[in-house]
Amino acid sequence: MKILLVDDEAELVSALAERLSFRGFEAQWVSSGDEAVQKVHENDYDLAVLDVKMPRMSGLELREKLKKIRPAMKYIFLSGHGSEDDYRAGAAEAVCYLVKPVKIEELVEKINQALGRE
Amino acid sequence: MESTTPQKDRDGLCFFGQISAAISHDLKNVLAIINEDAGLMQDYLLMANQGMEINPDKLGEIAGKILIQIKRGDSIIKNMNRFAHSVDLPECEVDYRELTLLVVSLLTRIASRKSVTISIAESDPVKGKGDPFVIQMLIAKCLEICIDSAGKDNELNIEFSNEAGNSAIKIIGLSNPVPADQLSGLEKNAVNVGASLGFSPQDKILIIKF
Repeated sequence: MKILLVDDEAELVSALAERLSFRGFEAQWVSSGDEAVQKVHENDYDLAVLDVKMPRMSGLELREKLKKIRPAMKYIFLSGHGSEDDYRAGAAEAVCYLVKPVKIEELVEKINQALGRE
Repeated sequence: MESTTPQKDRDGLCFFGQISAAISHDLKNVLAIINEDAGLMQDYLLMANQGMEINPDKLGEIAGKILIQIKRGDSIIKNMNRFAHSVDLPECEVDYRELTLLVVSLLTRIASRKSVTISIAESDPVKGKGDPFVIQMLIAKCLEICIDSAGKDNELNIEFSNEAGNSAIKIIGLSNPVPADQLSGLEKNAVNVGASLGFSPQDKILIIKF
């Protein structure tokens, strides 16, 4: 299971990637939308975990770009805000939307659900 | 004529809300990083309990990262506290440079989302009398419009002057014209603060004069 983590807080996604690797996921991370697009061109990920609010390209804009490259990829959104508008936009198509800080067990559960591994 | 006081109050409340939301976002990120680093440390300790050898340097590195985030959180909260206390007095002696530094640090995330960097020139304190909260609101509104005008990957420079009792904040680096309705809105805000605006499209400069 290959997962891409995208958040402008590199400290956050680097630690999260390491923790997910201990739980059997092949997790890679980047800290911008442009890097994510490049990574998705180069790799076939099963799922991406996207921060909603990022400089230059929001998580929702990024998902639109990534969908064109890998239509089958699944998404989970992370946000520090948890605003209603973000929730509506994110929940419409994403598998789920989690508010930071997240419990690793909850994230793993949501990843498994998204990938049909319940 | 209808009173504009409720609208002024609402503008102030909206500004307070906008800044509070930005602060809460930054603090959420700080907590999320601490959460992951503490969780990572816990993962390593669990592995150590199961007999895996753990490099102490790795734990030291994670602890160091947590300390950096605590320092970051503390600095965000200090700014939040200064901002919250800016409503304490309707008029007092203010340092325009200090207020600008605070506003810029509070708007960093908004600027970075729009890929604009803001630099502030060194200067002595630039002092005057006024309402710190509404002055911050004016500086923030001017900066937001200048950030949009500067556009992606550009830089705004802020300079200060204090001559013959007149203080000025100069925002340099505007690229696109500021829409007339936004400019007239800003001018109204400036009048409420007892300030005036000077806009020079050819020099790409907006000046707030107190």
